[in-house]
Amino acid sequence: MFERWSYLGYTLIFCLPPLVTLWMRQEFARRLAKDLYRILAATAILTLYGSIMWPMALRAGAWAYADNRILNIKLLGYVHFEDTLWWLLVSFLMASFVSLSIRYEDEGVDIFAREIQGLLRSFACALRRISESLRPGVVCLAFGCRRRGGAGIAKQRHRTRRVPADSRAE
Amino acid sequence: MLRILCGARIFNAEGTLHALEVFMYPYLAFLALAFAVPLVPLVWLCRRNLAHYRRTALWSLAFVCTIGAVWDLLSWKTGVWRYDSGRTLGPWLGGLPAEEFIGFYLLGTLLIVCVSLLFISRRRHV
Repeated sequence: MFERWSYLGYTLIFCLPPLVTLWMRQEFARRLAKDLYRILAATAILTLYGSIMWPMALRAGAWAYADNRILNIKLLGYVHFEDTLWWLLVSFLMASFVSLSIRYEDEGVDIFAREIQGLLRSFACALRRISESLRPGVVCLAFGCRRRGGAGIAKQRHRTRRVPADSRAE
Repeated sequence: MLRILCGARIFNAEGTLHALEVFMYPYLAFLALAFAVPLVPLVWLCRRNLAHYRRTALWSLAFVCTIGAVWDLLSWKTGVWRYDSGRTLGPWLGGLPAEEFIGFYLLGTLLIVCVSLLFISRRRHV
């Protein structure tokens, strides 16, 4: 897909969005900032370790890279640039997540479960709204929504339509 | 580092690893050397933190086994990296060797989590 930028491209695509999500959100960033030096220290140790070990794996034939999918830039003539970047970003992401998660765990909150639930609720709500605008009745049955949104809105619409008709009859 | 290893005769003249070539399965040997060996003291050091923050460890594993697997498969399918089928254990799951799942996903993730816990939470629970 990215030719010789493939390894670098995939590393950035898979690491940067979650990293940005973690560090740009104010609620998380405030907590993460308290552990910044510890996160950086863990990242540095892991990156150094990975940068030493990965070329050994390549030499041993554990796996191999396609020459036309990597930049072929070696740091200190020993380790591929993308390998070091992979360890740097993955370690930083994981250490950030661990730092955030244990802080929330200390507060009795399962942050990842909370975020996933929130995300799913947002998707369901958005889907419900879209579907309601298309076919009001069917959506309520499909999502089983009774309180907010779906059925509630549908009932309200039903009432508002009826009232003028009733008043006319009276 | 390389010179030290060469001096210790771990590398041969062509720069290939002697120690790992002895094994039929270099990938498995590498995973054991790179992840399992350092994990033993690390897990012992972090045992209380791991027990206390097991949700964090489990979520990290879940994260790696889902998004990490997609990333791995995508890279393998597009030919960024490849495995020598003759030098892996044999069972392949979705195009990836079986040792990738146990060694890389499980042990590799645990290694990163343990090092992070060691740095980040040591002051609180050890």
